[in-house]
This record gives sequence, structure tokens and C-alpha cells, in this order.
Amino acid sequence: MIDRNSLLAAAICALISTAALAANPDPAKADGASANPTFANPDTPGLMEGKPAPDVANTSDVIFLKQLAIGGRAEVELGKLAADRSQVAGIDQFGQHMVKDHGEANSKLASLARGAKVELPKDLDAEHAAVRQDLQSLNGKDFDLRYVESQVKDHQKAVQLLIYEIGSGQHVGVRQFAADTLPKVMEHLERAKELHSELTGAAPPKGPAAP
Amino acid sequence: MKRMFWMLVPALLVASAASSDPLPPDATYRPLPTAPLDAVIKSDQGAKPQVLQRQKTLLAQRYDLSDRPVPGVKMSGGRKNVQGGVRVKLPSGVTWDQLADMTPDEIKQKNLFPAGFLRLPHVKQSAGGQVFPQEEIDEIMSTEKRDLRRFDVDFDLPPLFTPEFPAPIFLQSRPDLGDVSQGKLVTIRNFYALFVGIITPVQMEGLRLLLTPQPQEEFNQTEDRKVLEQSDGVACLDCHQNFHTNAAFHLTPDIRPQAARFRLDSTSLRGMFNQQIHGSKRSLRSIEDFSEFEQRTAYFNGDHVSATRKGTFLPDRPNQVAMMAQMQNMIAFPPAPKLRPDGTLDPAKASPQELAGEKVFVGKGKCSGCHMPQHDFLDHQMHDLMTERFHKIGTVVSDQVVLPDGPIKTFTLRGIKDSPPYLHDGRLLTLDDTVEFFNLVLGLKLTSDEKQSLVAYMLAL
Repeated sequence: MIDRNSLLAAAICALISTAALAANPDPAKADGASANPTFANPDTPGLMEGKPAPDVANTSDVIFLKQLAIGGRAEVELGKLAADRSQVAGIDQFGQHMVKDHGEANSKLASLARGAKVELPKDLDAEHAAVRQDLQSLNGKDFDLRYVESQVKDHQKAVQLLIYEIGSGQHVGVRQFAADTLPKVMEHLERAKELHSELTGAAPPKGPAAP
Repeated sequence: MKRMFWMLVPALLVASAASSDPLPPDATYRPLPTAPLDAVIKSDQGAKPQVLQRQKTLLAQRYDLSDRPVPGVKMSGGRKNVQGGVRVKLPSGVTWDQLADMTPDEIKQKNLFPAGFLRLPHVKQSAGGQVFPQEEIDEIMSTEKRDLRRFDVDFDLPPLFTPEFPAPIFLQSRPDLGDVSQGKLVTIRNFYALFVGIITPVQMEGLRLLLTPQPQEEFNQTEDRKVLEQSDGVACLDCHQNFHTNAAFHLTPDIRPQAARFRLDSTSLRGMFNQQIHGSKRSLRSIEDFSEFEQRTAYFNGDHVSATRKGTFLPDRPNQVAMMAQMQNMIAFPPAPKLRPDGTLDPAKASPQELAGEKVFVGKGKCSGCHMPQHDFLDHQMHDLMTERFHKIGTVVSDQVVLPDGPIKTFTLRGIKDSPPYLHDGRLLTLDDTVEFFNLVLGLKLTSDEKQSLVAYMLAL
């Protein structure tokens, strides 16, 4: 038999902790209160108590985790190829960055997925397997161009996926991961676009800036 | 048979490789709700205090929200103060002049772009949608018994920084009359008595349509809504109160996914007869196009599928659209007694400071490059200010991603003191803020006197 006083005390504690949370929500941090529950499943734990439990993944979280894992894995594999094969310093360097940055992001993603009980794909998907096969048969400028093209496309997709998760996800940790990862991925996209226009000659030639 | 199967395999592989991981459909389309409405209400209401508090924290971090009116200046109805002074807070350790002396790249590297110059997020970006200020909610409730309150969010800006309510209405067809609003909010309940004898039958029907509530994404009769009871919807003039604005906001219908969408502050309809492009990204070429299609954009986030489900009003082009457009085109700017017909200040009436401001406006300030005085301070163009030169992109504030805004249309400056907050998303609270913003973004290096004279000039427009 639970006595009334301890129930009351627990309720007060719960109220105080909610109030403390509400007192200073940080705009820079993801939080469960700001997710949109309209599209959550009706049996989402915690939904009826005011907001979804922070560690529950909704459909968007699951799609995001799986798709980002596919891309992340491809970035590392293709990055290794680029670091090995490209003669262009910028692309070689870019490849190394991909291996490092996405390697780190992939392990974070894997641990988040374990926590959210989402199984991630183990192999490269058909699309990226085809790109890898292409790249293995190419050399020199053809290789560089094919690699950089794939990087522009993959990073566009990654940016979109991250923005999608920030708006539609529910799992606080996963949303925070998306928010933390996005600026870096946007830098990658920016760099990939630069490399593409340098390789193709679409960019205006670099000259000294006016003093 | 076996051989045929093996011939098909490569073709299947190629087909699946082309579309193995597209983005999910709800990155573009509004999904059908999965939770029952009572669960959503309970959850949204439970989260509301925290959601509102977060926005309050953000506003307090970014702006000085104190009551500091410009002495001796009122909005055009003579009832509301105009707030003055620079309200955007500086990052610690720098002055406005020091910032203005830095290159965009330096400001970006040192992370010194003032946060108040960044996109202003929606109170609840993940839900988005139209949010009305309290005075509009109260007035529509008392006159029409229609509920514009949302159960998940409230309006965020303090009333000091919103337009006069109700705003005065000036008709370009009857400049002799002055404000014809009688100090009232025009609604579906009172419009006829207010306007009979002043406007034509065609304009009257246009006005009726602009005041008739229609289903909208958050205010409708389905379970996918953010208002407690089934709602008749919202009317055009619920946001564009008295053909001006009440600073009601929503998210641009023209961008996806959700976290990438920027906030939109309702624009004034004053001077519509001279505005040639409409919509935040769509650059629609006539107010007819805008009035017709807004039923699927501002009302339904650019999602015609959702609009069809909740019940959309499709005004017929030759009749209803033409009448709605004609009524909007009757709305004039408020009087500006110091301006001459060519848009220049009358030296016999303007103060030396206002005249000095005009000189900066057409000269060093480069303002008239877009805000052409002889064209009601418009140029009918969209321009990209490229503020992303000054800050990193991809950071997240209140679930909104800081991204480049791209080109946005030039807004008029006629009657501008009546229209806070400023910029398309309302990120700037005063005219002084706009001067500091453009001083930095356009690299103008204005002196303190020049800045003050520019503000004085804009108050006279």
C-alpha cells in the first residue's frame, strides 16, 4: 500500500522538476516540448502527460536514422577511395575529411540508434554500391569529377535529411544530433560545390582581390 | 525461362539504384495526423508553457524590449506610440561602429553578427501556422464569436512593437474623407454599415469576401487543427486588419522541409495599387493572382492536397477574384504632408534633420537604389541581401535552421512608422534597428548623425 503522503510528495517533486525545466528552456537545444505531437502515434509513451517522452523515436526519427546511416557509411567508403586515388590535393583532403568526420558521426549515430532500438542497414545500398563500382573503374580527372558529383548529391541529401529530422523528429537525442551535425555537413556541401566548379571550370578564375 | 530471368536481373538492379533512398513524403506534404485530437490537445497544452518560455528567453536574449517611444511621434491614427532606439543587442565587447569597420568574413569568423539580425523563429517551428495577436483574438471573439486562439502557441512580440489596432483606413478613391474606419475593426458583422455609400457594389462584394472566414490549416473543422472547437476558419483581413497588418505571423508556404521555412510577418495592403509583385518567394505578378491562389498557400502552407481535404475556397477568377483585388487596390497610404508629388520632401515643411536624412537616403545610404521615392519607395524587384556573408549557416535556433533567405521583395516605406516589426520575418523591432542592419549589411559606414537623420526622414514618409 502506497501512502498518500509519498504520492503527494512525488507529485510535488514532479511539478517542481517540470517547473524548473520550463523556467529556462534553451533555444539552442532540442527539447521534447517543441516537437509536434499531431503526427505522433497515439500510443507514444508520455504523450498524454503533456509531451512525448524524450527518448522515444517516431517514424521520422527511424527514417532519418536509417537513411543517414546509409549516406554516412558511403561517405567513409568513397572518401577512402578518393584519398587513395585522387591526384588533386583538394579532393584528396576532402576525402580524408569525409573519412574522419563521417566516421565520428557514424559511431554517434550507431549509439543513438541502439538507444532508440532502431536497426541500421549493414551494407552499402544499391545506389552507392553503383557509385563505388564506377569510381573503381575510373582514374584521373574522370575519377575526380565522378567523386565530387556524388559528394554534392550526397551532401545535398544529408542536409535535407538533417533539416527534416530537426522539424519532424521527436527523439530529443536524435534531434540534437541532427542540429549538432548540420553546420559541419553544410560546410562539406559548400566545399563539394566549390571543388565541382573548380574542376569543371564553372567558377570564375581566382585572382587577387582589390586592396 | 531461366535465361530470361537472369537477363532481367541487371535491369532490376539499375532501376532500384536510381531511387533507393528518396526523402520521405512528409518532407514536402503534410502527413495525416496519427494521434487523436484529444491526445494532441493534452500534449500541446502541456508543452505550451515551456514553448512560450523558450520564445520569451530568445526575445530577451536578442532585444531590448523596454518601452522607449519616440517623443512627439504617433502612428497615423494618432493612438499608438512609435518605439525608438536600437533594440537589437550587440554581442559583448563590440560597438556598432567597430562591427561596421570589420569585413563580413571577419564578423563570420569571430561569430559577431548580432543574433537579432538573424532569422526570427516561429514560436513553435515544428507546428508552424498562423498566430494572431491577442487584440485581434479578443475583438473577433467579441464581434463574431469566432475563436482565433490556438491551444499550442500564443503570439510572442510585446504589443509595444506591433501596429496600431484597429488601424486607420485611407481610400485612394476618396482622399478627401481621411480615415474611414471610425476607429473600429472592420469585420463581417459591420462592414456594410461602415462602407455603404463610400464604395461601389463590386468593391463591397470584394470586401465581403475578404472578411468571410474560410477553412485554414490550423483553423478548420477536421481533427488536424490547433483550435479547440471546429472552426469556420480565418478571413484575409484577420491578419491584414483594416487592410493594414496586426503583425500576425506564419511560416513561408514556399519552402521545405519544415525547419528550413522562415517566419513571415503579415504585410500591409496599403498602396496595393502600386505593388507589382506578391508572395514571399513566388513573385506573383498581380494582386488578382495572389488573392486567388492564397487559398492554397498562406491558408494551407502551399499544400493543395491538405487544402482539398479541409475545404478550400476557390474564388472564381472573372468575378470574385476581380472584386477582391479591386477592393484591395482602393487602399491608400496614410497621408504624408511633408512629401511632394514626386516623393521628395518639401523643404518648406521638413525639418533640417529630415532633409539631411533624405540626402543620406538617396546618397551614401544607397536606400533609394531599391526604395525609389518617386515610385512609392518600391522597385518591384526581389533582392538578395546575402546576410550569410556575416554568419555561419546550418546552426539551429528554436528548431529553425539558420539558412540564407535568398531574394526577398522590396517593401514600401510609405507610412513605415505604422508597420513594426520590420523585414519580412519581423526580426527588427524599430526603424533604428533597420538603419543599423543596412549599415552593416550594405557596408555603408554611416555616422551617428546620419543614422539619426535617416530615422527622422523615415518617420516623415
